[in-house]
Order: sequence, then C-alpha cells, then structure tokens
Amino acid sequence: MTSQINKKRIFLVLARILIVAILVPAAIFSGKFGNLMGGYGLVFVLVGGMAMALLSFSGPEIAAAFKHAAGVPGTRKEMRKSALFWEAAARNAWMLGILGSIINLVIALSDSVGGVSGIASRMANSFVTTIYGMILGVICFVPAWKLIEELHNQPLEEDPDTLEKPVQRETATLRFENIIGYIVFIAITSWTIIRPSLSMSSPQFQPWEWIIYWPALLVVLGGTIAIVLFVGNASTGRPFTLSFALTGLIGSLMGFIQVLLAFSSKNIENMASAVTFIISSCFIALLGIMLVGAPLEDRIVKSERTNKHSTLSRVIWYIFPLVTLIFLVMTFVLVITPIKKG
Amino acid sequence: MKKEKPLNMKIDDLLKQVLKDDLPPESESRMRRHFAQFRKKFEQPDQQSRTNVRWQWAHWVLRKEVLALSSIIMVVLGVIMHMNVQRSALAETVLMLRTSVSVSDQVRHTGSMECSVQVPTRDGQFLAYSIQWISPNMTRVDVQKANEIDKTLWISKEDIFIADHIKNVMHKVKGVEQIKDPLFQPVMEFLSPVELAERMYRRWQIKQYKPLAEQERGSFTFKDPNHIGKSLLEMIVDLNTYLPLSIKKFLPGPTIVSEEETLVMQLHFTWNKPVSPQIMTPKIKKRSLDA
Repeated sequence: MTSQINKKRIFLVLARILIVAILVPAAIFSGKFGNLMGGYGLVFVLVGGMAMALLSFSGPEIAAAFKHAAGVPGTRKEMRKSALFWEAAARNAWMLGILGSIINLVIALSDSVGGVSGIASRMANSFVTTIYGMILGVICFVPAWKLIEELHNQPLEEDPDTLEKPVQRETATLRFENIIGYIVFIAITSWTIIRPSLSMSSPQFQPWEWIIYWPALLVVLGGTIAIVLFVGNASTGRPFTLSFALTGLIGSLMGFIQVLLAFSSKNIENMASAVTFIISSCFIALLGIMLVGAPLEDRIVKSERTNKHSTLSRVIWYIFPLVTLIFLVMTFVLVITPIKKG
Repeated sequence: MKKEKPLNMKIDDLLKQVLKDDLPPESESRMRRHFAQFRKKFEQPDQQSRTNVRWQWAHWVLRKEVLALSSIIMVVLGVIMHMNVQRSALAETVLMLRTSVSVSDQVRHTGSMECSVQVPTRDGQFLAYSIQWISPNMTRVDVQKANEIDKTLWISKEDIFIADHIKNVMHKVKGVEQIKDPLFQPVMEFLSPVELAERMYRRWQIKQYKPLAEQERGSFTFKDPNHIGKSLLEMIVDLNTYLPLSIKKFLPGPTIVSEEETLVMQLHFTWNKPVSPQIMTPKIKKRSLDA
C-alpha cells in the first residue's frame, strides 16, 4: 500500500516536472517575453538563493527538504524543518529579486550608451530581476504549503527518535555551510556589481562607488545598533530584522521628504542627492536583513528555541522589499520625467 | 553497628525487585539533560574566565555604553554628511539625466528657434549659417559667405526648396534625404528643435554635466557615437528655461593642442522669439554678379 502511494507520488512529481519542462521553453521560444529575458538576472537569483539557503541550513537539511518536497515521507521534526527551508527559500528569492533590481538600476545609470533613451530602457529592464525573484519565490512556496498541510494532517504523536534517544537541541552557531554561504553570497553580489564596469568602455562611475555612500551607510548602521541595543535579545535575529527595516525605512522617508521639498522648489540637485540616499538606505537595510536578521532567526527556529518565525519579521521580509520596489519605481519616474519651466 | 532485622531485609529486597530503576526513556533523557546542564554550569565559569582575558578588548568595544555612543555618533555624522558633503557619483548621474531630459523636453515643445552657426573652413575663415524655425514645422536655412547670403533652404510640410542666390536659380527637392548639397550637410542635425531633442534623447551619450555657478547655467558634454571620429559636443543650457544657449562641436583625438584646432562647429540659439512667417516663403534674393 505504502509503495503504491510512493509510486503515485513519484509519477505526480515527474508529471509536474514534464509540464514545467514544456511550458518554460515554449514561453522562451515564443519570443513574446523577449523583454523579460535577462540571463544574468536569473543566475543572480538562483546562485544567490542557493548561497542564502546555505546561510541558514546544512547540506543534509537541504537534501532532506528536496526529498520531502518530492513526496518522500519523513518524521514530523524533519518535515517541519523542510517546510521551514522552503519558506525561507521563497522569502530569500523575493528579497534577492529586489536586491538584483537595485543593483541593475544603478548599473543602468552608470552606462550612457544609447543616450537617455538607452538608459531609461535599461532601467526598466532592471525590474525583470524582481519578476524572477517573485516567480522563484512562488515556486518555493508550493512545497512549503504542501509540507505545512501534511504536518497539519499528521496525528500529534511523538517521534520515536525523541522517545528513544536523549533530545539534542541544535546550537544556533555558525556552521561550515553557513560560512560557505556567506562567501558565495558576497562573491555573487560583488561580481554582479563589478561585472558590467569591466565591459563598459567608459562608465559614468564605478558601480561600487554608490554602495559606499557614507551618509546612508552611517545612518542605517548607527540606527540599527541603537535599536538592537534598546530592544536587546540580539542573538534571536528578530531585533536585527526589525532595526534594519526601521532604519532603512527612516532613511528612505528622509530622502522622500527631501525629494518632495526639492520638487516644490524645482531643485534638481537636492532631488538627485535625496534619490541616492533612498536607494542606498534601501540597499544597505535589505542587505542587512538578508545577511544578519533572516539567517539568525532561521537558525533559532531550526534549533527549536522558538516554534516559528515572529509575525513581525515575516511582515518585514515581505513588506520592506515591496517598499524598496516602490522607491525604485519612483526613482525611475523621477529620472525620466522632465521638469517643466515657463 | 546496628544489626538489621531479617524482616526488614526481606522487605527491602522485595521493594528493590518491585520498584526497579528503569524510568521511561523520555523521563530518563530529560533527567540526563538536566544533569548535563548542571555540570556545564560548574564548568563554564572557568572556561569563560580564560576566554575573557583573550577577548578583553572586544568586550570593551562591545560594551553597551560604547556601542550606544558610537551608534548616536554614526547617525548624527551620517545626517550631517548628507546635508553638507559633496554629492555622490550616483547623485551626479541622476542630476545629469534629469537635467538632460528636461532640456530635451523643453526644446521639443518650443514655439520658434533661431540659430546662428559658424563652421571654420580650411582657409581659416568661417562659413556662417542662419537657421530659423517656427512651429508647426517650417525651417529656413541661409548660408552666408562674406556677409552675403549664397544659398537658402526652405523646408515646410509640403515642399522643400533650395535657392542659389548667386546663380539666381531655385529648385524643388522631394525629401530631406534628397538634400545632397555639401554646403548644407554640417547643419542637417540642427534643422528643427525636434531633430535636436531626438538626438539629445536617443543618440548622444552624456559624458558629463557641470552646473555653472554664474547666471544659473549648466554645461553638458555629449559624445556622438555615430559621427565620424566620434565628435564631442559641449552644450551650455540656461537653467531658468532649460533651453540650450550654445553648442560647440569638437573632433577629439590624441593630438589635441588647442580648442581652435579641433572646433568643428559653433551654434548660438535664441528661443521663442517672434519670427515673421513671410521669411518662410521661398523666393530668390537677386544679387548683382559684381557682389
């Protein structure tokens, strides 16, 4: 009976893979989504997603998550961990999409080939990475939902493991895989930033110059440290997520108010300065959430020191990138909209 | 020593047999965990004191007071820097693009344009052009040599005429692409504001933008990638109206010695000044052969 169910599951998984394998090339070769094809954006989201998975989970845990997603049964504890993995993967893909869009938007601004029209077109294309992140996020959410549903349906009996063996709680410290994850993530992000400047004949500015926009960096980091000290309990990761998001938001709003003031006085110089502050604040805050807040909280939940991610952190992980996206669109509109004078 | 009674011994054995020390696995593991934690508490202070000595400096840096003070300093410094320090490279680019977009938009929606053009010739003289354009789309180009008009080009929606005032002839041309006279070629990209705006928006690559302190002006440097030799264009714009005041066109090269050697063209603009529509009617200006 069990083997029959397993066979059925395997067939179902194979059928789904087949459908995806037919649909994806069909979409690519139809030529109707030509503007949405940006090979490197997809590579960034995929490799970055893998690196971010390693920040929070170990190799065997990732392998188990894939097995459980394919229908292989597991203990309640394992299934819970796998559901956590897929949920984290979905969240990471969404945030990576937005991070990629910020980087691509700035790269678009640094290359003047094709005049203003060329820059505007490249800026618009930078949002394609967000679509990749969103699609990958939805794909990762499917197994998470499935596993959570299975967990709800399972009876609440205790695992034989916990009955026979003494309970060993995992520590939330850094593992070898986590360090590898950090290295890969920093490498792919740096390469994404540096890569276009190597191919450009005469870039307007080096793309990494804007990342170290000291005012935004100081405000976001200083604000984060202050809030974490005030809230306390930093090892759980929650204060980091909250404080990075808050300071990023404060920085963005400061910039936004400056933009409005510059608009009323028709001062383009102040507007440009404010736009830089907004983009840099969002970038640094998002990077902080991705590298510190989210992985710390994942490790804490995984080690069963808490049952689940906090609701506030979840809201931040999805809303803050959305706010960043809105600010990016605003930047795009600001750059390509002319100032009307008498 | 007190001797135990045989009855007690029997009860003791019986109790040992009945109440065996085999706890359920869960309780046993919980007990073991408690014991392990208890032992750890005793061992930890010793370990901690050893690491404390090694990481004393880090503890000092990570003290709450130090961190709180440094965080406040960071925030204040960040805000002050943002208010006072020079703009970043990204801000410069945003400023440059937005100004360029505003200029091209203003040029596109202008009512009339007058443009005087000077093109240096090989003999050290200047070939002068006067371009007049009025909305909706009427252009007149006069080519002047020694203060006399040699040729005139009229472009309107319906017709294109070229008049040679020396030979006293005028002929009709079917389209702008058919204007093959080399005399008109240097100014073909400045025949109308829309043409100029399109080039600014789609073709010329912005290389630099500098706001000039005096008289609210800004200076753009563009590169024309389609032009032979990839010419450079320097445009001065009025930041009150966002309209160009002048354009200088240069041919760059490794042997640039002075501006005169590389200057290809110089244009001066006057915008939205009333222009009589009568000058847009094609007619030959009769000149005596002596002149």
